[in-house]
Amino acid sequence: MNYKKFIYSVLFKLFTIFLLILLGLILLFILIKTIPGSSDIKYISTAFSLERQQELQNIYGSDNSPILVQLFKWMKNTVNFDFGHSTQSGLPVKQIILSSFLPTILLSFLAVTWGLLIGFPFALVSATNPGSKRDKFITLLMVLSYSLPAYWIGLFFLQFFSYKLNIFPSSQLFDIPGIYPSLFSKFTSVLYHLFLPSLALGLSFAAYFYKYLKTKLIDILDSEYILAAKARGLSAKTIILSHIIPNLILPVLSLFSTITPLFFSGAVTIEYIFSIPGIGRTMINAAVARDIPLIIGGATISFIAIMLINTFYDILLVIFNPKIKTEWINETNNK
Amino acid sequence: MLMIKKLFPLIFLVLISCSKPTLEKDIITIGLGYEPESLLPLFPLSATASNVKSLIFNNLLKMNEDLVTFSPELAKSYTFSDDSLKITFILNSNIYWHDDEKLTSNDVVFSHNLYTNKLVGWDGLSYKQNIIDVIAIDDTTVVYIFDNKTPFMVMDAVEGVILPKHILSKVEVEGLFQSDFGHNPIGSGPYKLTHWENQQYIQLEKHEKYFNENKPSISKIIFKIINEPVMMVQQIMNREIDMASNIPVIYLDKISQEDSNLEIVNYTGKDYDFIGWNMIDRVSFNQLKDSIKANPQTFIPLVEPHFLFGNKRIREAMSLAINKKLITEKLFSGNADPINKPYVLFGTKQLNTSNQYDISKAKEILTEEGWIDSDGNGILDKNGKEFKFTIYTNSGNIIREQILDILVEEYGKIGIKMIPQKVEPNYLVSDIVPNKKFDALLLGWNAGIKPDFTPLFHRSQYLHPFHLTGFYSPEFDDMNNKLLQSKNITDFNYNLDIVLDELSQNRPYTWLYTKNNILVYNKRIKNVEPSIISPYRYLEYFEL
Repeated sequence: MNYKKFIYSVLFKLFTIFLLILLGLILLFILIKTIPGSSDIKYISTAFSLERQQELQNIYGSDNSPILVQLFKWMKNTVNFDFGHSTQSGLPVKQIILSSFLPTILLSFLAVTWGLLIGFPFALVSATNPGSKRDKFITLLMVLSYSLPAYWIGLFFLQFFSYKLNIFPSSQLFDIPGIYPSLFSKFTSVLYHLFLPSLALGLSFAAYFYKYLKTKLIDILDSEYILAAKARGLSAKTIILSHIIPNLILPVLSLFSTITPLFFSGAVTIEYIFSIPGIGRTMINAAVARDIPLIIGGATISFIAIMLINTFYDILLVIFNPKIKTEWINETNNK
Repeated sequence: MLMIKKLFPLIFLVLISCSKPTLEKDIITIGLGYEPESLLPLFPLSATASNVKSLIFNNLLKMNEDLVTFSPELAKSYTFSDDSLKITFILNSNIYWHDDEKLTSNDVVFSHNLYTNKLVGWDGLSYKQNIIDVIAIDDTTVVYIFDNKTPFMVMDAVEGVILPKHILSKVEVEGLFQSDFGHNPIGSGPYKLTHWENQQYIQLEKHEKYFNENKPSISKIIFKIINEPVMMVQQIMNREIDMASNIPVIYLDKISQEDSNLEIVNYTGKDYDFIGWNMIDRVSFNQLKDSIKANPQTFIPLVEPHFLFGNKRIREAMSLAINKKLITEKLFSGNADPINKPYVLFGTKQLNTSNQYDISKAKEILTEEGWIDSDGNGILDKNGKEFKFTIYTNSGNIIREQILDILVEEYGKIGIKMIPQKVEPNYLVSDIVPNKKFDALLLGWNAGIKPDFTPLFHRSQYLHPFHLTGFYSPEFDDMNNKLLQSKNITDFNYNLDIVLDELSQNRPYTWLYTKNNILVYNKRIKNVEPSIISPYRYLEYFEL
């Protein structure tokens, strides 16, 4: 019975998310439509008469039909994942966005990995030795990492590792096309190219993780079950693996849901500096060229992706925390 | 933990084993500041896209450096008929498209029909207006028939690359822009496109069946897309790319001082910047817009002049107060030349690069026109109205923004208050310009090979957004018509001089400067000959 109720509450949550997405899309549409000026369509040349230019604007660019009709058309197309064609290149928006998403997701994943690899050990050292010299030094390092913008760190890495030491590539996602004997060799090349940008971005994430995890760790270390574990004579390794890490899963999931939007917005400057063909760089180029179908398509997909990822985190939280599960069920029953 | 410890060195080794990109033998890597939007030659392409396109497609003839004569390309020869109204082109017999289909005169006819199709709206349409018909006699013979004899008949015929009929005839004209051809073009040129990675690389490979006896010597050309000029400079100095054009002048000293393996070439460019003066009153223009559309001849003269720049003498004073030499030296380190007339590339026109900076004369004219500082507040005034105007430019162009700073100071010296406005380019083009919501504009154009001032100044284009200034002169219109109807080069040059003088005397624009293009390349490449036509001219014959 409880299981059924839970499924029902998940479906209810998904329905709420659907309504939120709908509302968000309407707001997004209104916002974009209120921007002054028209879409700059590359192929409408000056050789056309003014009348013909207007006709083509209507076909390929800003639609002159009533706003509600445009909204309805847009919603229908969004459901079909059809955002039209880029006014600059003529390519389908869907194709451009999908090809840009993968590098951004990969970059964000690596950055988060760096963030955890750096942030967690530092948080552990600080939390276990509060007020010590080590704690103070690490805190200083993390404050520095938090204060320095990712693009600055990126530029420094470029200058030092790429141009001075010449050991990392300075741009692009992989080496010259067509030289890879296998998919694996291409993948390693991608990892190699993403090393510096993901580290630059990861350092900012590390500071976030450090600050958040340190507080949580101090709470956990002060808890009675840790004291009991210590009293039972368990080794530090066992305490970390069996007691601390499992108890950190929930806070880390909450943290992830907070920083997910940063995957899409925070990576923009890094993508630009390192010439990575991600969604951030694509959207900047689209905004500069006023490629409205691409702007709308990119914003829509980013928005839906963020909402869905957050819902996914929420569901994971519920799975890992029975207390939240009960709250969800009660909330659904009340409505 | 142990597993992580074991994995770390492995990951590190994998990463380090990936080779750092270096310049390779037989491959040239060129940095591009922007990704070409498309390579479909039917639609207006950026300079970057045109440069890449020129390696994939061919014209019937190749334009020479003088921009007047031509060398054989797809056509090995051409002859005029006795009445000089027909040109017969004989094509090479061994021309193949990149997909191994044979190129014939039917492709030439097809391309002409596509370029002149009104639904396509090709931006070079004016080149084809004098051509009545194009007929394929046999596979290698094609005849162009003209309406009138002009000095540009060969140029008109060969403008526009030849396109493959067997591919594009299957695409609806309305769907051409969105067709796959723009990103997977099939041409007949020395290189074929083999790879296009979004925002990363464009890779071209040697066309093995290229018709020319001199086969391309470089096997692969890779265009690497690098948006940031600083990164472009770093990569060329770091040997990640071989060649880059339009490097900002501020980096040239660093390159020449720190890297003796790089060559910097400075060559004539097509771009020029100007200030366009709004000569008409905005309210009056917007009121008469619809009437002008219906009857331009009657209603254009009724548009009220602008309270400042409707006066030719004021425009003269404004021009005299600009120190163009200061701009070209300070902002371009001498890589630009001041100009005082419309910039034309055609023939042997020499630039008049004198500075014409005369601030006391400017002051004198303004006083004669009644503009004096009567209330002593440092700003000239007349009938209670201050000499104050707003000038717009597109944001993001650092040079233009710096010019505005210089102008504020220069005009301030003679009691003129200039309000600079930097706005988003699309907003400027779609709202400010067509509705004449400006007093002046700081913008730039790209000079066409064939001089034609119709879109910018002729009354027939009065309502077109590119007709920026509201300039109207029946005398100029007649002169311009005469220019376009010139029967031979001598006539054309004579008429061109008259048109240029007329424009420079009326000053709808203050022409500021023309910029030189800069190409930086690694000295390992030989035979580099950048020209106004393309920075990668004769790239197929570069040697390593």
